[in-house]
Amino acid sequence: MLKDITLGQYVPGNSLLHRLDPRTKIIGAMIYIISLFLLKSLVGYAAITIFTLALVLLSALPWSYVLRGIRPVFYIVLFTLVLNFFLTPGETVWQLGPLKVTDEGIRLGIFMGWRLLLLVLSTSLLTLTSSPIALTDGIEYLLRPFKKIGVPAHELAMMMTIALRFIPTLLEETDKIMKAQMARGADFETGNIVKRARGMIPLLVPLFVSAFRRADELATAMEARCYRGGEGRTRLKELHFAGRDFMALAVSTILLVLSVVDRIVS
Amino acid sequence: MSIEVQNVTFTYQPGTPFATTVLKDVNVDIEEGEFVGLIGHTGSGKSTLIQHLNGLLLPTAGRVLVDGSDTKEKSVRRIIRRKVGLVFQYPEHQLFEETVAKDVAFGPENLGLAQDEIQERVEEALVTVGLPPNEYAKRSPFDLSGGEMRRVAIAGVLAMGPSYLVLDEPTAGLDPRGRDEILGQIAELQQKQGLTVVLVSHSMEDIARLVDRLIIMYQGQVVATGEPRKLFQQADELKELGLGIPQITEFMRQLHQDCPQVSTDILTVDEAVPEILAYLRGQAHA
Ligand SMILES: Nc1ncnc2c1ncn2[C@@H]1O[C@H](COP(=O)(O)OP(=O)(O)O)[C@@H](O)[C@H]1O
Ligand SMILES: [Mg+2]
Repeated sequence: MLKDITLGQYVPGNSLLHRLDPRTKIIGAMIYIISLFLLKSLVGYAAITIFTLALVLLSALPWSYVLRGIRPVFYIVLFTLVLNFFLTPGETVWQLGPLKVTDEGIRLGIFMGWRLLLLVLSTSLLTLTSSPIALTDGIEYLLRPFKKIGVPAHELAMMMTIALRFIPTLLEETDKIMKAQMARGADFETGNIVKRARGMIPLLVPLFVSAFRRADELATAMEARCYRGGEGRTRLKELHFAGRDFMALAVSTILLVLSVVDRIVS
Repeated sequence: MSIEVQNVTFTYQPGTPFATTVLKDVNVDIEEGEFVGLIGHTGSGKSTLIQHLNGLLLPTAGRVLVDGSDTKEKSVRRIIRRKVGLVFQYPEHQLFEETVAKDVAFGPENLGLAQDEIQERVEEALVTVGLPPNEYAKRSPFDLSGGEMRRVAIAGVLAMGPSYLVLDEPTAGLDPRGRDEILGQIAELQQKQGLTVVLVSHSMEDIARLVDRLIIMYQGQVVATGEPRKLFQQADELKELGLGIPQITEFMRQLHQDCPQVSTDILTVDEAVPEILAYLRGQAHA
């Protein structure tokens, strides 16, 4: 039922990637994405592919699980491939009625599809190796400079933390209520749209009731512990850059420089 | 007619780093008319096991037969869900209708029964759980007390007319009075209507004196089954499984060490009183 959803899919571990500071990982991921879109040459693509696979190795996560994260984007990649194959002008390689596959189309399609795959793979590495709390902490730090122009960094991060915290709880709750109503003969899977929409009521009403109850309880619990926004708030876990973070950022910078060179040369 | 759980193994989220095997080669038979207690430490797999009894979860290996039909068969799933009424833990969280009567009617409606039959079943179920229909039927379930909400939810399952009733920790979070009321109603239901009942609990205190047979789970396995009185003779083993024995039984066992004449085969205070009195009289005469 809901077991296929692996949202906020952090897998605890102690690999190098796990131990990096979340800020390093967020910045690193951004640099990676920029590099990915700068690259043009075949050599460049091969290099970044090897680099990405090395990152997966460093994460010490099971390959099957990392690759599973790509599955949802499979159709998008396929779509990209097909679109590029047919819509790019160039030398015709193969023709089906009015549809022409061009050599340039094949090249572009494969590059674009590959790029998407790497993009998803690398960003999923970020979420697989960083706990949601660490990620929001990182985002809060990185957003701090923008506070001056009115970005509520702490509040945004707190909202994200709470939302992420409650995703598994809500999924669990949904699963439980669905099962309870199925035990009373409810059917969520068959029938036309109207029947199905009506069928959601026994699920949604209890879910909203419990979400509001939880929100209320959480607000009370936070106030009872004197929460009053980010002003003057200290942290239990301070983020600290370690040697490995500087190394990782150096590697990221090299990646960026190489990509710029690749772009200019080809 | 019975429910047979045969060599059932169950894994949550198989094929991921989170895969956990929660049931390991479980074998359980539940005979018609029986009052069974399923007991085990929190996390021992009780809730997972009972969700197999009506096909909400399907075994990773092994099979579950309800009156001879395999729960894996899609064609019999509706019938099995009707036969095996499952009341989840905190069932009050599943209430959704505007009125108590409508909520209880949800199950029978899904069975496609006629309106007057539904009406009849709703009233009957409400009476059974001790909520007089003329007083409660038109009220909103969300305005009731916790104990009342829970009873409405139980009525919702009873109204489906199950032959097996499975209740997951029906007394969790209730005060002693609410707990005694619900347990009393369940016991009465079992006796009067000959319903087969599986009562899940982590507390011996609650169920030991009610049930005919206990099934004890530990870390996903059934480690013992038998009459409560017999099992309590092995109190030390039970303690190792994280389970206590009822306080009064424990008391009698300790008394027995000093006064070997008193029996330890005692489950309730009502049984203990004459036993102790008889002992004291014996002492006085000696
Ligand atoms: N939906 C689920 N996904 C993954 N693990 C679960 C799920 N439900 C229960 N578990 C795990 O299965 C084990 C047994 O749980 P459960 O059957 O609820 O035990 P009990 O009812 O005896 O307390 C626990 O370790 C629990 O963490
Ligand atoms: Mg449980």
